[in-house]
Amino acid sequence: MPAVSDLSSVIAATTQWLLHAYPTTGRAFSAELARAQARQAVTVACWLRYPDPADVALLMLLGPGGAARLDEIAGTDTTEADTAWRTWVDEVAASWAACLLADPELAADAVDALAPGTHIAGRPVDFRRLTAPEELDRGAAVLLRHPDLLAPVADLHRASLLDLLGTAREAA
Amino acid sequence: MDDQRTAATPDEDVVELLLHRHGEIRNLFDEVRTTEGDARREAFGRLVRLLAVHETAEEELVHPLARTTVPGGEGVVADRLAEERRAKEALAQLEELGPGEPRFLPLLDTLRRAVLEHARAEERYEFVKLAQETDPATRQSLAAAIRAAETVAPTRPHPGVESASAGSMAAVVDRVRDAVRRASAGSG
Amino acid sequence: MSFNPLTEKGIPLDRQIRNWRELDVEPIDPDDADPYTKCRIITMNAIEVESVFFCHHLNRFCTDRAIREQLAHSRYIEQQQQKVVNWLLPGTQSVLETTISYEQQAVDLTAWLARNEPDPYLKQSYDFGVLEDFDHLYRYANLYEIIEHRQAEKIVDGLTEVMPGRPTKWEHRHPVDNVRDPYDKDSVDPRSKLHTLTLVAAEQQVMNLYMNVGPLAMEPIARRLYQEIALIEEEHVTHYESLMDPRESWWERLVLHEYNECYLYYSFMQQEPDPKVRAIWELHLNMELEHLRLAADLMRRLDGRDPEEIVPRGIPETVVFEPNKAYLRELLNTQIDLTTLGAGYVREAHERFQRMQETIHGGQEPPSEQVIEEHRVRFGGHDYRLQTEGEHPDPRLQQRPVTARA
Repeated sequence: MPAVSDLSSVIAATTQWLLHAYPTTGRAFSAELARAQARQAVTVACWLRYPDPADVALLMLLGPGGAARLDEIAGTDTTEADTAWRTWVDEVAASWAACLLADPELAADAVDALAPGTHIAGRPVDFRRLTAPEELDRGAAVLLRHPDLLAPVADLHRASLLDLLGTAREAA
Repeated sequence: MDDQRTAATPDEDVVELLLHRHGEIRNLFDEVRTTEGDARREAFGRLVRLLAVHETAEEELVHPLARTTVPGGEGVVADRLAEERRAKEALAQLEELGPGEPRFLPLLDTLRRAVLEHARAEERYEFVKLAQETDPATRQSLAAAIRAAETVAPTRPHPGVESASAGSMAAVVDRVRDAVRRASAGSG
Repeated sequence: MSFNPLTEKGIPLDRQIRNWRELDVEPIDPDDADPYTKCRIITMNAIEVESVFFCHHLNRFCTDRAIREQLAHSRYIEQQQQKVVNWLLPGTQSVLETTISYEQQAVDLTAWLARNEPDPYLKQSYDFGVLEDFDHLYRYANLYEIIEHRQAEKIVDGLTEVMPGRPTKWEHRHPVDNVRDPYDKDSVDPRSKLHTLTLVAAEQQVMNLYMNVGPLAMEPIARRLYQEIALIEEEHVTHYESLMDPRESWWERLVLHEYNECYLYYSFMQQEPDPKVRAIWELHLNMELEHLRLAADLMRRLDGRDPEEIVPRGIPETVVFEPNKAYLRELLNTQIDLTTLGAGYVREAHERFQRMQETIHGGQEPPSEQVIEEHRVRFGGHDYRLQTEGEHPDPRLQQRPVTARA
C-alpha cells in the first residue's frame, strides 16, 4: 500500500476527535455535514504537515502522538472504552484544522499553499465544504467553526501554521 | 463503510466505484421505502450517511477533475452541484420530518427520483467523458482517494502505542524530521 | 357479445395526428412500475416498429400514388404511436436495466405464446427460442450486478426466474440451420399467424436495440456481451420470420399487422394496472381499428378477397404477461440439449454445428461465459441467480460450489 494513503487513518481519527470535542447540535445529516468540514480541514492540515512520502513514513514509524494533551485541554472524559482510535490523533493537525475551521479565508490560503505532487498527484481537489461553507454546513457546524471555542486547540500550534503559510506565500 | 462486497482493489477504477455507490444508494432508497418503524429509521440513517459521504467525495475529488479535463466540464459540473445542493436541502427537510410522518414517503419519493436523475446525469455526461479523457492510473488514484475519504477512525491502537496518553510526539516528529532534512541536505 | 376488430368503429384517420402536448407523455417510474407494464411497453414498441418498417417496404413496392399517400398517412400515425409508447420508458432507467426488461419480456411473451400455440411445429419453434432468451436474461443479470451493483431481482421482481437456459455459447448455429419451414397460410390456425408475427416483431426489436446500444457501453465486457447476444438475435429473427408463409400477399400481411396491433392493444388494455398507461392502450386500440378497416378495404379491393378469411373468428384469448415458471422449468428439463439441423430439431452436435462453433469461438470462451466468470471472481465465487422455485432442474447447470482459493 502506498505510504500516502496511510495518512487516512490519522485523518479519520483526528477528524473524529474534533467532532467529539465540537459536536453538532443537529441530527445525523448535520453530523455528516460537520464531519465533511472537519475531515477536509484535517486533510489540508495533514497534507501541509506531511507533504512528501518521507514525512508520512516517519509519521507511521513514530506514531502520530495521540490525543492526550488535546483531551486535557478540551476536558474530554477519556474513561470511555473506545480509546484505541485516540492513539491515531495528530495534535498538530488537529490544531491547524481548528485554525482553518475558524477562518475560511485562512483555509483558502492553506488550500492554495498545498504543494502539488504527493497527495494530489496532479489532480485538482475542491475543499469547498471547508473554504466555502453554505448555510446548511454552517448550521451543522456551529461549535466546530466557533473561533472562541476553537481557540484553546487552535492556539496550540497556530504560530507554526502561520509560519508555514507565510513561507509558502513568499515562495509563491 | 459497510461494504464487504466491494473490497478495494489496487486497480479499482473510479468510474466503477462511483457506479457501485449509485447502486447502493438506490438499494437503500428501496430499503427505506419497503420497511417500517425502527427498520426504516435505521435504513434512513444509513441512507443519510451514504448520500452525504458520497456527494462530498464527488464534489471534492471527482467534479474538479471533470471540470478541468472534460470539454464543457465547467457547465456540466455546475449543473451537478446545483442538483446536489437541492438534494441536500430535501434530505435535511426529510430528516426534520422523521420517518413516522405521513408526508415522509411522498417527500422521500421526490428525493429518490431527483437523486436517481442526478446519478444518471453524472454517469452519462460526466463519468463517460472522464473515462475518455483520463488515463487508468489517474482513475485508480482517484478511486483510492475516495476510499481514503471514506475511511473511518481505526479501532485498533497505533502499533507500539498502548494508549493515547503516550504524550505529545509532535515535538519528536519535528526534531527527527529536521534532523533527516539536514542530513539529506548535507549529502545532496 | 365478443369484441370483433373488423366491425368495431375507430377514430377517423384525419383526426389521429397528435400535437406536442399530446405526445409528451409522462414516463413510468423505473423503481415503482409493475415489471410487466415495462414488458407491455416494450412489446408494443416492437409491434409499432415492425409496423412502421413493414409499411415502408410496402411503400417501396407500391405503384399506386393514392395508396402510397394513404400508407404515408397511417404510417405517420404509427410513428406517433411508437413515440408515445416507447417514450413511456424513463431516462433514469439505464440501458442495461432496459435490456433486462427486454429479456424478461422476451421470456414471458414467448412462453405464453408457446403455451397457447395450436400448431405443434410452431410451438416447438417457440419452445426452442425461449430457452435462449431465458439464458440471455441470466447473462445480462450478471453483467448488471458487476456494473451497477444491483441485482436483477429489483427489475424482474421475482416474476421471472433468473438462471442459465440453453447456454448462449451453444446458441451460435450455422446460419442455414436457422431457416425454419413456413406454416401454410391456407390451413394454419389464424392465431398462429398472429403469434409468429408478434415474435418476429419482438425479436427484431431486441436485435435493433442491441445493434445500436451495444457500442454505447463503456465497459469492455458489456460491449462484448451485447455484440455476442446481438448475433443470437439475428438468428432469432431469421428463425421466426422464416415460419411465416412467404406466399402471403402484401395486403394480406398489412391486414395481419393491423389486426395484430388491435389484438395486442386490446389484450394489454384488459391487463394494465397503471391507469395512464391503460388510457394509451385504449386510445391506440381505437386508432388501430381504423387502420385495420383501411387495410381490410385495400385487401378486398386489390386481392379480391375477404379479410375475414385470414384472421380469427372473433378476437382470440387475450395475450397475458404472467409468470411461466413451471412451463420454463419443464423446458429446461427436456430441451436444453436441442439444436437445429436444417428446418428440424436434433439432439446431437452435428458436424455443421461443430464447425460453426469452432469458427466463431476461435478456441476461447465467448463473452457470455466471460461475464459469468468475472462475476464469480468479484462476488465470492458465485454467479447471480434468482431461483424462486428451487435448484436448477438440470444438474449440469446448478450453482457451482465455491472452491477455496489458494
